[in-house]
Amino acid sequence: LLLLNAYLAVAATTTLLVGALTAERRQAQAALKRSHDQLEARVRDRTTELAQTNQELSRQTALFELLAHHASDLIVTLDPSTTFTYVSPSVRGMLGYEPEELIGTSALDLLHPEDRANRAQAAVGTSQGWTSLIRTRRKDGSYAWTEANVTVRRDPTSGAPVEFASVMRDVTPRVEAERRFRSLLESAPDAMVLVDGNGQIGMVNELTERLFGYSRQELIGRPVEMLLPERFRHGHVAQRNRYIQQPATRPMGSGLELYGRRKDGSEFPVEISLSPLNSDDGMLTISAIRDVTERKQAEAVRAHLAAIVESSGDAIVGKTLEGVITSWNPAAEQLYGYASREVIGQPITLLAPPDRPDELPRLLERLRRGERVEARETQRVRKDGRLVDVALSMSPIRDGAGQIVGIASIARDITDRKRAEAEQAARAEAEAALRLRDEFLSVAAHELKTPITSLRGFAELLLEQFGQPEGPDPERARRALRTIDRQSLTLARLVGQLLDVARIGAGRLALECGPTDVAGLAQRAVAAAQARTLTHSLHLDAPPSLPAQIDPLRIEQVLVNLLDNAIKYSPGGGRIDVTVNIPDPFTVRVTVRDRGLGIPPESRARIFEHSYQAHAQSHQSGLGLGLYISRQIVELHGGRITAQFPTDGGTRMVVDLPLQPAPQPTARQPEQP
Amino acid sequence: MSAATVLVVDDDPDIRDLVQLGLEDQGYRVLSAPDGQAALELLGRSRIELILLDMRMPVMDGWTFARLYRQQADQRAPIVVVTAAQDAAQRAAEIAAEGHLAKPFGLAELRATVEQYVRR
Repeated sequence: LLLLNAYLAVAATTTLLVGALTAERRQAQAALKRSHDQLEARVRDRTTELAQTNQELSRQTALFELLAHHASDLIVTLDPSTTFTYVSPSVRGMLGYEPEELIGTSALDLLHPEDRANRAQAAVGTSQGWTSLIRTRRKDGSYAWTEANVTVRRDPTSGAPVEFASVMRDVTPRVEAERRFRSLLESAPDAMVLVDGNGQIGMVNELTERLFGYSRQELIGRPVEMLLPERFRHGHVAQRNRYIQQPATRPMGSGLELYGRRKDGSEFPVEISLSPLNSDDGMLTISAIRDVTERKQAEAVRAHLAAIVESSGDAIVGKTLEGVITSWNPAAEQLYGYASREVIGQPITLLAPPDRPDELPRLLERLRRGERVEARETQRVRKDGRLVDVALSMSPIRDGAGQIVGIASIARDITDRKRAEAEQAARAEAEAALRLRDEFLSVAAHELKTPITSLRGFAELLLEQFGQPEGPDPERARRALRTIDRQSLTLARLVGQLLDVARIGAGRLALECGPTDVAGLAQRAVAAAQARTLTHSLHLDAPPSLPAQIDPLRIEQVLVNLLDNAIKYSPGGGRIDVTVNIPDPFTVRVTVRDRGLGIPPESRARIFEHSYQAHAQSHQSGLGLGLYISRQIVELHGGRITAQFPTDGGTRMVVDLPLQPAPQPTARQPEQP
Repeated sequence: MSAATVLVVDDDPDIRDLVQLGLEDQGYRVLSAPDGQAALELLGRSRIELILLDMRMPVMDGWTFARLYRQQADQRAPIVVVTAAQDAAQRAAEIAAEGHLAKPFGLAELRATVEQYVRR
């Protein structure tokens, strides 16, 4: 076009020159000829030039067409109203349209609604071009992530945009890969921080924002050291550079205490693992950062508890539900004598004393059911075989889900306490025995001194009688002598009892057994007893004779004692029944039944004890030794003496003796002094 | 002037006899009771100048008798504890008795003790 204009201009000029030649033909003709030649030369030159230009233009157009047609990127041009003026054929492959379908339509119609809104808002301003990531709708309706590299051509004078040219590339795979990677980061259980080779933060997940208190925008592009406490920052730069030289997936700062620093300046313990990531942008490092505050606290609590267990004075032993020892503290070593390494893995029954093999299995069974054992006093065997008294508490160990997974026991050495208790009990027993002895002595003194007083006093009275001028009054003298006679018998009986008790105490009460007619013996005893009372009637039910191998004097002593008691404790008088029979072929039985006071139920268990008096309050006489001695005599014979209390009142004493002498047992050990 | 009256309280009949015979010879009138209960009944009926009191007795012992006796405002007769206990003086102190006589005692001791408390 330019060349054509130039040519027309030259032609006009030539017409003017021809008109002037009429005046000065000759001169003019020469000039004209020169001019014409010159013009012809110039036309020739220009034509050549034009042809050359045209050729160049065609070449460039062809080249553009060639490039545009064959480029894999989509090339488009738009007029200022964003209407497509050119669309390269690669649109077919990229978006599925024919170029002709799009030319004349608005480019904005192809954009994803969100991007369209963004694009519409963006001012073109004075920009010469930009790159943007937009979603472009394919013919099938799907969207392609597209990187658009836009160039603006402006009017040289007004500066207004006259045309947009854009090279567009489908980056859908890359964007989707990035999105997948991001969602992977977000789903990670740790704070994830991507750091580039310069130590700048490239990408973080939401956990990072939450953990450190920074927003994403505050972190991207900043040095990763901002997440470290001040004191670690300098060293970290050097370590980071070393990591870049030898990248590997590994935990960071193994063996070191690592800390993160929040936006508010607070610090918290972290655990970090590092992984290298090769990318288009060079070597990246992925840091997975975990807040271990809770774990550290739990560890501290555990360490604290462990220290308590270690320093406890009580033996603390852990075991499985089956009773296999799993832990053993120093106090357990001390108490039981086994070192920890000797017993871990051994059954706890190792400590069970041989006399109670069932105790531990039973306790374990209770614990498996979830029960606890509180301060049970028992014994355990030490390594050296000695028994140790312990107070044992056991409780089930439960896991987080409440399941019983083990058993903990705490044992306290109570040997000293037990010894103290035993000493105390022995002391109390000794004191009680002493008190009983004092009381017995006091009773014995009273019982002995009373007849002695009578003996002495009546002897003196008798002597005074004899000292009188008129001589003794026979009646008074006889009365005094009768009293002296009776009291000396009483005294003899008391002394006899004391001697018996002394013999029993020394284990020297001996029997002299011989063939004896028990029926005859009973008959004599009953007759003698009847002679001592006017208010009682005694009845004997016995065979004519009943021979047995017994000590006649000692059995008579027993019968006299039982008859005396029957009389003494039925103060209102009444019937007393005595029977002698053979209840079985090996036994002779003698019973004495009164209808007197009986024995109060609370006293019945003790009537055969040394110096016990069931009726001490109302009938205070004697030493309380009669039944005690009788029992010793009967038992020495291999027999048995019991008391029965018939419902219609009174007491029935039953003496069973073997017909043949039993091998003599040793006398009972003294219960009292 | 009538004879002074002595009350002997003892569960042993021979001791009561002995005291009675031993003191009647000396011109005293002697009343006797086998326990504290019987003694209290006698006291209500007779004027008594001295009480010879055994401690360990059935029905009512010497301690109870002494307590009840002291509660009676018009009874002022001194009490002499007659006991077989090891420490007669302590028994006497227990019931705030005026004197004590330890068993076994002789007639001379008995008469000297009674004379000490009874003015004739």
